[in-house]
Amino acid sequence: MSNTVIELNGLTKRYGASRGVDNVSLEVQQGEVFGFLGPNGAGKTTTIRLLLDLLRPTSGHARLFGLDARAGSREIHARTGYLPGELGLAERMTVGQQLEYFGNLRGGVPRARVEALATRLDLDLVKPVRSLSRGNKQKVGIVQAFMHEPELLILDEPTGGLDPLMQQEFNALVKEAAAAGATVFLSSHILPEVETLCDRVGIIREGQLVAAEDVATVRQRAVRRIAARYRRAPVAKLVADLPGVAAVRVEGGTLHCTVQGDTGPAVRALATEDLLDLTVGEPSLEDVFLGYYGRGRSQ
Amino acid sequence: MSLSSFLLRSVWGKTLWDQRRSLLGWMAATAGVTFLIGSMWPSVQAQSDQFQELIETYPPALKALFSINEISTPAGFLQTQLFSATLPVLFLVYAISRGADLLAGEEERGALDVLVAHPLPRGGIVLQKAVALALGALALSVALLVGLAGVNAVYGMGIPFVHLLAAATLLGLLALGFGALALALGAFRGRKGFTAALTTAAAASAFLLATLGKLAEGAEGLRWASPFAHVLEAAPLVNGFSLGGALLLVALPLVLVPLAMWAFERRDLGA
Repeated sequence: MSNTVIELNGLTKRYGASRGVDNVSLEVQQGEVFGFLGPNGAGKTTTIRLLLDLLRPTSGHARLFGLDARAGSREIHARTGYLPGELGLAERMTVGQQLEYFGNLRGGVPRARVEALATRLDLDLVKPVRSLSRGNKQKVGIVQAFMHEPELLILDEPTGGLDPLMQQEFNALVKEAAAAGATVFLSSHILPEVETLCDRVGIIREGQLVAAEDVATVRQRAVRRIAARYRRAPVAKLVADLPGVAAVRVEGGTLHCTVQGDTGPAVRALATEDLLDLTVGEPSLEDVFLGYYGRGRSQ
Repeated sequence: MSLSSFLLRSVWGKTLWDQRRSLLGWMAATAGVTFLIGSMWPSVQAQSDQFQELIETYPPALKALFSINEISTPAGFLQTQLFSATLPVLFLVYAISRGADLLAGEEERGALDVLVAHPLPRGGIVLQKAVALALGALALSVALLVGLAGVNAVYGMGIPFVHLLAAATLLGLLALGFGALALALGAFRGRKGFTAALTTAAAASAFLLATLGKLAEGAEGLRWASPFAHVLEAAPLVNGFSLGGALLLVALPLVLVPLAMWAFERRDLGA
């Protein structure tokens, strides 16, 4: 018996012109923290909503815990915690009542567990739901996803609206859940966020899964931007011939280039006596795509 | 156990808890309007002959449209004044706005995703919403019955209680029928404005069929196909329950709610 928790096989959902997902195949194993990385509108939310049987695929299959996403939806939902990208809470009730209700729909959740999560996230259970800021609504969503200690967590852009301190607390929650054996599938459009949390990353763009690889491999292939400032105008051939280096241009006293993979050789080559300052940028999502598509096609 | 912790155990209970304040408002309005209009009876009774003579001069189309018949008896007066327009409008606005909101409205607010991702069958969610709708309509009917029984007692109208019960029940069922239609349309397509507009148009058509239908020569009988006819034309305050009317009004939600469950099971939810 394999311990594959999520299995997507040729999963396709077509809407009109450009939205949807196209022929996505993917496996996520039990205990993995899997990051689903892509720009807005790439098909992350569509994939997640297919997993939860909120949408039905045009073709292909989604299986969770070995069960068909539709036929087994009740059991899947019972074993899963879901944080939607847009959580429409506008009820005239308190946060505590809202969470009590969601807990009841799952057959009851210990109040102590809800209170512990709320305390960690600094969420006031007595406040009315409709008065909450976006960040606080997001906290309600996080608590309801984690409170029944599910085997699988499906989190759509989980840190949207959270301040940095709360993001750290959220990261701790994810790591604790994974350490306890839960599987986590989370979507994001921010590479550093995925890097800190995930073991493996799936990269989706325009509905297609470009790659599913270890975080280290993705980072290795990502393109980073270097800017080196000199006392006198530098020459492009300092780095132009090094492997992985591209887009070299000189503007005044500054040399700009991009490097794919380790930046060490380029940094050493740039470190002449005239060097005043050197910056190596964190790869942005677009830079990750550059690593997978090459220049030109990514624009 | 508090009321909130009881209601927050289920989808139907939570749906009622959400509208607790507005439902009390609708109930107060129903009972209040009933009592207010009923309290005009003594002055109308004193001049009932003149009123009746005046009414006899109205053109038939006007009499038909406002379901005006005789107002010289207490039951006829209340039937004409309350049930020809005021109360049906009140009940239908409540039921259609609720019915359109329960699925389509929640879907537009983005509240449905997280609910459907819970371990509940989709059809069960629709059924529980329908139960909440039925309990809301029942609450309005109870308020109406209280108002009717109040004026009946205070002004010594002598209308049999079973006639009051018939009028309140049939109007509640009429509202439930159109509320269920809104629920079903929302189950097919999660757009609240579209759902409410289409249901209102259906209700207006059914109203006109019931009222003006009797002027259609050779097709007078057709008006009994309209659910409104069994609350307006049939004059339950005067005549009590009619089996055919009750059956038609009960059948509406019994057909529409399973249809809503079927439709909601099948489709994609809106993003």
